[in-house]
Amino acid sequence: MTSLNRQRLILGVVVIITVIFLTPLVWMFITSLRPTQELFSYPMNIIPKELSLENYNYVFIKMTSFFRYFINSLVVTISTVVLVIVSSATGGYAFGVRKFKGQGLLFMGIILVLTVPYIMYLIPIYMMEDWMGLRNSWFGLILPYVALNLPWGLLIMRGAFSTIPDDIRDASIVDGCNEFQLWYRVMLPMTKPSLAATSIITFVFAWQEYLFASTLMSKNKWQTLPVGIVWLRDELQTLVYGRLGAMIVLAVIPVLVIFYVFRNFFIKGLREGMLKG
Amino acid sequence: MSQELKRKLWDKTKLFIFLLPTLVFIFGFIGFPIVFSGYLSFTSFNYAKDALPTFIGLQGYADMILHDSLFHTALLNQIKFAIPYFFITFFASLILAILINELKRWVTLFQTIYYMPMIISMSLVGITFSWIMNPNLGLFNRVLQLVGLGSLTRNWFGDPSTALYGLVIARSWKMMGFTLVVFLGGLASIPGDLREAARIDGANFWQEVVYVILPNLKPYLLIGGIWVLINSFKVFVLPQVVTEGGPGFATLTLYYYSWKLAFERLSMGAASQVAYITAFIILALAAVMNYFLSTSD
Amino acid sequence: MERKSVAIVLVLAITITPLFVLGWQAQAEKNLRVYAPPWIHKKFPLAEVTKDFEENHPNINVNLEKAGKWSAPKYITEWKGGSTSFDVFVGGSGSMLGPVISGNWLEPLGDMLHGTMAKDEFVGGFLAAGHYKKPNGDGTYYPALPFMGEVAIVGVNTEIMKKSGLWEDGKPKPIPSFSNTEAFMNYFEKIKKNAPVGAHIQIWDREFMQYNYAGPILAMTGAFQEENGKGFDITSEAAHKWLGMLQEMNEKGVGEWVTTDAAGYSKWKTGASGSFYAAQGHIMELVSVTEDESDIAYLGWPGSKENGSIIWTHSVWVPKVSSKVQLAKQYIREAIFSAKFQQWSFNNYGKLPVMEAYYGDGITWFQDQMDTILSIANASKPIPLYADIDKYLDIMKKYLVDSAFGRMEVDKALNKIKSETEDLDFNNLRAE
Repeated sequence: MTSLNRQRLILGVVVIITVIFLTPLVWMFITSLRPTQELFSYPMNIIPKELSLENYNYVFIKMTSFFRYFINSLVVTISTVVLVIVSSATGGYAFGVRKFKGQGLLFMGIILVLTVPYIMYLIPIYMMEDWMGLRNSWFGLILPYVALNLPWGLLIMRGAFSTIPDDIRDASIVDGCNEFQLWYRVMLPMTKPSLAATSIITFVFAWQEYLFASTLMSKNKWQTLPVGIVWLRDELQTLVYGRLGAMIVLAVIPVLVIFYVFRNFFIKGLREGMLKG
Repeated sequence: MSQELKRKLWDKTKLFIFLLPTLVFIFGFIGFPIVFSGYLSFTSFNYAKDALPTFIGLQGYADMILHDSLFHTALLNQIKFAIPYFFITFFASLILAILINELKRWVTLFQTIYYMPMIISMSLVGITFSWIMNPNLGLFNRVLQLVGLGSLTRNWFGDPSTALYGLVIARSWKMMGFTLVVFLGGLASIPGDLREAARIDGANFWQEVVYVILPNLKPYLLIGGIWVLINSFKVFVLPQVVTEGGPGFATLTLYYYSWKLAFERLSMGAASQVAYITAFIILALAAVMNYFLSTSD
Repeated sequence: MERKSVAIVLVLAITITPLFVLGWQAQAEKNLRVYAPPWIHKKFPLAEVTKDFEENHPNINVNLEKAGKWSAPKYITEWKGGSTSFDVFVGGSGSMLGPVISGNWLEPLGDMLHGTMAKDEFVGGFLAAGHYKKPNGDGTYYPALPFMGEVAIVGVNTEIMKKSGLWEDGKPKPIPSFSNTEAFMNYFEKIKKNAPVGAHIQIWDREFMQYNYAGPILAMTGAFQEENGKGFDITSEAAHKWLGMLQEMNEKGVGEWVTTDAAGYSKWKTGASGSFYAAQGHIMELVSVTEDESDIAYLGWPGSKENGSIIWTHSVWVPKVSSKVQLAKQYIREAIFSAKFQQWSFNNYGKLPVMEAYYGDGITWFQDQMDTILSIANASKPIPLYADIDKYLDIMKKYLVDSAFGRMEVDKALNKIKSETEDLDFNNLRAE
């Protein structure tokens, strides 16, 4: 077999698998464009006879709570990203540049966070937030989200800070920088790609989180998209997958766009975090 | 105070300022909770009924492990879920990564495509799959009918013998992008001349994979493997959204059972026991895997 | 300078956080807070009657909210602390309310049963579902008022019945007696020949499982509980027979059991199922798809005419700790028990009104079937509400569903239920 033919064969196999792989996404998109009548026809036609935007219209006009969910998701996600950036930029510096007692142990502990079931945190957090009145508020989600994302952020940022050569640090100190200036003016700009990676990973996490959102936010008004859409499914109760499809498409688009634009940072961040951890 | 001491103190203060946000979040929302739920697991605390937790030592664990029949169901389901989930996710992404790596071109494109489900919320993936697997209106059964396999059609999520495996497929579909990305990173780091040399020695593709690619991929296989393993035991969203643990309790997983105990019954003590047992299983398996993959050189 | 400003920013960020939170908490409280699960919002004109209520009482504000997945303990925690996030809860059937009623958390509403809401104005069986023993053992009371009733009933798809030769004199042939197993099976096998599913039993979740199991046993024997009152009948011949039949129907593919609403509806609404055992309201919903009443007809299980069927209700209730009990009662009377609220839901979703007066003018659906439905409703019984209902249903679900789906032998399943439920508290909270 020539190398070209082999390439073609592999490409063929990969393309076929990829098409099958993409089917669920494509199918939900097509579903969102089909009128309800057609979804109920039995046996079902795979090729749509008729496409319409009626489901999107319905979501835009009738489903006011969908927009509330959207706003909640946006506020929670962006606040989480900002707080994670601040915390991991400072904490990453402390772990990557400074040396202190118990550093290794503390860091190991923080990384262990990622392995255990999150419900171990959720149970006490639920009681804490109940007590503090944080449930059913944006902060009730933002604070635990920051804590859950910080380990990744620290992994990435510690890596970024530790690769900055000592010369630069020494040179800046000779130039009269104090430590905060060194951190903020000199080092932070050098870690921009890692900051970007941290933000995007956090964004993706917070945008899709379900466990905490569904448990801590018991009121409809405070739901984020992943939970709210499930609520709407239960409310519509029957088979309105056209509308659900439209909502899913609308909920996925923002994160898809962000992911696509920043995909290189994202994948780099994941790999770095993984390998160093 | 001496100048030296002052300097040291200020140095410590600066370090503390840098660590402050991390410490606040980690201790407030991770450290304290995990210790507290550990304590709760030694109590019979019910948040709705009891004012304060009553310490019962290991009694709660003993009752849970020996007498709780739903715990047994959940544990069994969890194992039945974890095994196929681990193999499908791990090997599907490994094989695909090797194939995609062979292409040289479009690697990033495919990587992006396969990563896409990773960024979609698990609950929305659940809704999507319930639609595709719907017995009468779903795409999957329809395709089976059209290709002449109509006898295989069934209510995938409604049949206790297939529901759990349906969830395995949905979850593997969503999660395999991550390991794919890890493996592709590893494959890219294998020097080309290593493989060249193997080919000159007359190795075919299969031999190349076994003798050159896999050994060099080992650290990545370990990381990917541990990640898949951890996730094969953290199964909550799909059973909750798609099957509600049913039919009967056929898709009740450990994680979901813990959640039900905690937030439907508010039996925080029992829920913490299940959570800690789950965590223990995860860590033990990860340690075993780490031992075998990193010492077999 | 620099170091100071950085420190200040960090400290501020951490201290401001809680302040923000307090700000959000301090929103103005509305006058009356009404909770209802999402499906009630959809299948009842809740927003409309609330608006009417506000218009009639310009100084009152009503805050309508969708309640999340039901969890009695969650609300109980709140009430223990002396507060509540709602004053009126619209919705909730027997097993949901068990812990709330046994804990004595609900305001007695019996004093509302006068005037247009006098006891004899209700459809008898439905009001009984709101009648409970007082937790202190001293008499009975009404902690929750049923506002909607459901009857478990068999619906058939007219078209498919005609094709299967089971249609006679403008109505479906009756289902053969349970005692004649062969004829009974044959009946559904005939339907199966003309439809993907012969018998559909909606649905095998925690709640409906009780009706699915108890309904036919009641029709066969006139009772569905153990003689000593310790749970559902799991020892009689009828119990073995019915569970065995369920298994056989599922095995042969005559019946297909499902566990989610969506899967069940998809069978019924696409016309894939010839018969459908469910709440009569669910059956009527088929018409909202085809818009033709003659597409469905009602049947009972053999024997249900004499022995009755299972009914259940959804109720409206007020937590004791609410500070607006009087206003809540006014809202219940004027909004929830209005003709508009109850009839709209019947006309759109087939949910049965609880007031006899509402079965006349204003009903636009199924006028000719009303007598059949009402007579079944009047002869029917609510299922008991045991003190340990949560644990009991968990165990029932584990073995009953496994057995109905053919994964466990009938005898084994029933024995397991017996041995694992023996120690539970079967005190029936309902007034008998």
